[in-house]
Amino acid sequence: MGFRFVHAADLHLGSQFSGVGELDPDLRTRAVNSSMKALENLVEYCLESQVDFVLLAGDVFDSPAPYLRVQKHFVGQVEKLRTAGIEVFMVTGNHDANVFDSFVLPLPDNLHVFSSSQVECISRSYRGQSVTITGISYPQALVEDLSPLFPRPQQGSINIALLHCDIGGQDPGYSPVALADLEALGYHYWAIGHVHSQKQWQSSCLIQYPGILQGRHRAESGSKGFYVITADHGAILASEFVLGHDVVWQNLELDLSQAQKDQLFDKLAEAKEEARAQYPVGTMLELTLTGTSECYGELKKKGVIEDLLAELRQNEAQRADFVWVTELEDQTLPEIDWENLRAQGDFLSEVIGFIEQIEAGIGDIDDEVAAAGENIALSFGIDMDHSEILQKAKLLAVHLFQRGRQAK
Amino acid sequence: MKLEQLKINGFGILNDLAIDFEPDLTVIYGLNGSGKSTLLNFLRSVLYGFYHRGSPRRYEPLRGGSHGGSIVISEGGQRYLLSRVGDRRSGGVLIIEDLQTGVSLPEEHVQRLIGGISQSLFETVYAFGLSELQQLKFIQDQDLSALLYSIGLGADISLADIYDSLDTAMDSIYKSRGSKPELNRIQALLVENSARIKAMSGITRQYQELTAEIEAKRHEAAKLRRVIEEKETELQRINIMLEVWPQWQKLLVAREKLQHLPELSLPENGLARLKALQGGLKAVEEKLYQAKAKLPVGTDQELETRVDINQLKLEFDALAVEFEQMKPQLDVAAERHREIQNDCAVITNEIAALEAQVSELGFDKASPDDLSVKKQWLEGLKTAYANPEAASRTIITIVQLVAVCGWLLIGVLFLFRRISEGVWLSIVIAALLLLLFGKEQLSRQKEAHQRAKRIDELAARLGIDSTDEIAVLEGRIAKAEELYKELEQQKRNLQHSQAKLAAGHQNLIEKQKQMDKVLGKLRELLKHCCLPEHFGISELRLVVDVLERLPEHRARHEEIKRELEEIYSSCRTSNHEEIARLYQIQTERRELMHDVENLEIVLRTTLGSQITQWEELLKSATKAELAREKGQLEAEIGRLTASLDELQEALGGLNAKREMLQHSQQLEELQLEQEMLRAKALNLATKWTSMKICRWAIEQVSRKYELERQPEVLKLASRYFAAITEGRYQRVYAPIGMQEVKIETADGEVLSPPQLSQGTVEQLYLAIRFALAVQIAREKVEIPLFADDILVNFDHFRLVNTVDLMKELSRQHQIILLTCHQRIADLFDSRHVRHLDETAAELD
Repeated sequence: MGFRFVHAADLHLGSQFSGVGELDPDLRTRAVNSSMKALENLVEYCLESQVDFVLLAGDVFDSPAPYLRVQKHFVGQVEKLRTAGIEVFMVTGNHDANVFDSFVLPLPDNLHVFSSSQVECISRSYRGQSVTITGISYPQALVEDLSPLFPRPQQGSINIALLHCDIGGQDPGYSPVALADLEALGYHYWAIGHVHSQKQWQSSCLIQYPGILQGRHRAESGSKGFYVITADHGAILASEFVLGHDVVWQNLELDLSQAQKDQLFDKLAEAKEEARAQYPVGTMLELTLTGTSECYGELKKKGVIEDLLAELRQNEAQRADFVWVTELEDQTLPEIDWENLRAQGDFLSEVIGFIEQIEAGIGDIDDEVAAAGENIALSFGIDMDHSEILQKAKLLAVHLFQRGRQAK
Repeated sequence: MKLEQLKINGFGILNDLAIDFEPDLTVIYGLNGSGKSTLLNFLRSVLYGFYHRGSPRRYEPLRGGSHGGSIVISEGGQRYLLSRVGDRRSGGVLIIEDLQTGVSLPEEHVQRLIGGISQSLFETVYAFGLSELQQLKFIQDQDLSALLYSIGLGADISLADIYDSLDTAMDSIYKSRGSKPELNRIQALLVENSARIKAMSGITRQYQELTAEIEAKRHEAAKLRRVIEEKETELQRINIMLEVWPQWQKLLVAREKLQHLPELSLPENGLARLKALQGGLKAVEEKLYQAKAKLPVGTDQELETRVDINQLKLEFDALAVEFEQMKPQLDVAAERHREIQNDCAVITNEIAALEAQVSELGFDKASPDDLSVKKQWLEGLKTAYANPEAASRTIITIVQLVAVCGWLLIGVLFLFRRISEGVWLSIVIAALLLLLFGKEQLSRQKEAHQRAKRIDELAARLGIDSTDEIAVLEGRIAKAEELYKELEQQKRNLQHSQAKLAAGHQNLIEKQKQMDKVLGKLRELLKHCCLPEHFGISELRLVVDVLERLPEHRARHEEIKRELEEIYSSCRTSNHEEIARLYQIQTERRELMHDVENLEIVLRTTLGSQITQWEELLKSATKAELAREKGQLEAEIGRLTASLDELQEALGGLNAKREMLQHSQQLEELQLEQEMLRAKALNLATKWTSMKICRWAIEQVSRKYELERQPEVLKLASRYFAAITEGRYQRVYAPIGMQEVKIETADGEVLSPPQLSQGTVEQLYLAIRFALAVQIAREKVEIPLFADDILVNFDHFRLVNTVDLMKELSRQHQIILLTCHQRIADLFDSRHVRHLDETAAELD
């Protein structure tokens, strides 16, 4: 058996969950520590599986000046690896360029951070096999394509490239590289980082994004982890994806078309348990309720969604495999004939048609109205989803007119 | 679309009813309860479906027939049969048949026929009764206006309500200058948290500063500790000096004293020896005296000087041996002699005692013959006393007794047998017996008398009075015989001892002579030594012993004296007091030296090897100075220690703070909190913006209504309203943004609907409905107008005007008027009038 190493990237240590409006105090600590726990999981794996070395492909820290606690934690974990004789090779990325300039704690000597001024080659021998790790760190947050700096691979050695880069990226700032260029360089393995989801390209060489180690919001949903690569006889033999996340994000759509009003909570609870069964770790679950359903009216009642949420969240915070329903996104429709409504040409259909025209980009939102939304977004530093707003506006209009009709 | 015919199978109270409609105007006349409103609802139900089950407007058939019915309509040159029949679904099912082709069309086709006019629009604009009109008078201006715009919304939807609820909801979320709405509160929290985060984000710098501060403080503390150590060393030095101060002072005094004491080399233990020697001297002298005193009285005191003690001793010893040999022999001989003498005396005494005993017994001590005489006498006496016939006498007595008894027996026998001869015989026998016994007794008395005479004679000789004394005498004789025997033995013993006495005496004399010889030698020796002649061997032994021991004592005496002289010469004085004083000095000096030595040891122990340096220090110091210095040092050390403690405490605090900083997740929690707030904000903002957009969209659509439709509608409405009111009200309009209808009179006065009378408001709304229907017909589709007894509140002129208007309108728009008033029905050509009662009655 040859040697094995771990390849992780985008740990974003010190970054926080976002997009969650409510979180139990007990879970806040879990949330705050999740990225660090993910690192702990990785280190624990390394120690248990006795891997030979660890590669971290940039954006290990969320900020170039990480919090002291984050520094301490990182140093502590690397220290653990040091006691097991495991070296850590690391490049910085756009988030953590020159991060160690702001470190106030001394770094363990088993941590090798690649220079940001030039490409470095480090040769080692693992289990009788020569390994060359070539990499470069970001000198600042925005960099041009760094791949042309990489030298030809060393003969008689397994060549591993370590880089934070954006394959096929259009943004000029995050080392946009062409896949073909990387392949052409002739390395055995490209340990890259930047993209937050798992991606891989297998040709003459293996190029992999392990993705972020711990998801932080709904867009970073699903399994998160790192690769464990096995190499022998001068070739990469196997790549295994190992879960590292402490909390997993899941977005589920729940079609309530067939659901009756009194089944509502059971359906939701069922969905929650399904989500739990997926992963043995904690889960941040967003449930989107869809379908033309008789639950529509129920969900629209004041406080119903809040009550459902409260009930779904009960007794979750203390569980290791908690499922925290972050949001119940109600997109159910009343039992009306949508097409017919549109065809009717009445006021509501006019309003809906009006909004749909904006959605389709035919109509424009009044400056004052648009400005009101933008001002809010600006003052809160938030990014509103235009189509979501229009969708909501549409549903709201239906609801308003429907309510008027039901009142009758 | 024009309605041609209606057929009801069963709908409410109506069943099996058919009505044909005029293409322009049809008046359906019927009394109350004849089913006019039911008819109206039937039309609506055919087009839009039955109301749900349980609704009063569902009109389940009450008089038979299956639920529903059909209408025939023409539209765009085509004719259709629309049949609504009951079905599983509450709305029933609509069957559309193209009457030309006979083709069945899908249910959805009805939408095309009615131009997509919704049920609510249909109910608002096309099918209305008095209640819809009258209802208006209770509605506020703005509601009236909203109702106007809601034409197309459905009858009961109020835009004003919608705006209201939207505005309320939006305001509860966000107000641009508010503080209470949720989003504003979140904004405030975000700002507040940002400030906190900013304040805390210097945590790393703070850590570095803390680290630097800790280093500086540690350095300071180390420096301080060194100073304290120095001071403590100094204090220790002073403490040591103070500690040894008493010893030091003693040492100084001792040394001083020592200087003043001469150093003497007196003999070791001189004084004690002096005392001992003096004691010894006395003892020896005493012994000499005692020895001399022991000499027996009369001994020459100068004897020792004159005789050779050794020669004397030799001579004496020889003499003593002789004497010692002789003396026991002499003593033994004397003793033997004395013993024999004693034996003789004892035997003599014994003999005397025996003789005395014999005499006492009444016998002659000197003659044993006396004894034998008396013995013979006694034998005679004893014989006399003894009786040789004693046995025969007994037999006689027995015979006598038997004879008496025999006699008595015979006597008794005879007595009993009354034999007188017998009695007599007895008496004879008795007499014979008495004779026999008497003779016997007489011979016996004579014999006794002779024997008594002999006894008395012998007794007198022996000196006894009674027979009892015979035994006593016999005992005395036996005893005396024994004594005689012993007396003989003792006399023989005495003769033997007297012989031995004579031999012993001879031996004694022999020994005495030899002793005298020895004593003679003693006397010669005494004479030679000029000792008194009466001295015996023991006295001489005493003298010899004393003389023998005297030289020893004398020698000891000399020795002691010599030793004393030695001491005296060493002390250069023989004065004992002086010597004692000298020794006192020597002792004192020694003690001082010892003290000095001890003190030096103590000091060395305390001060260590560098004692000389210490002595220099001690010499240059005074106690007061040291005490003062000590006080100062202690105060200083106390002060410094306090500062150090303070520093340490500060360090502890800083370390704890630094530790806390390392582990503080407060900042991250705040960041998370911010993210949570932002998520909430995003949610709310999205909601708010969607409301804003929704509201805006509604506004836009209603404006479009206002701009694009309302003017035409209002123009038509103005014309119709003026026609009904004979020009009293010239114009109906809706100012943009005011959301209300205004009416302008011929005088140019602008009124709001509430300012109009009830009838006038009804006329206004009727005019607006006509206008809307006409306008919608122009734009989209013509739907027949169904008006249910709407003219009842109109005065005669306006009624006529309205009827004229309807006649005019009906030329282009089919109108169906339902009424229960004959006078209204009479206003129309009978061609246009259908009698519902009749129809119903006919069917009945």
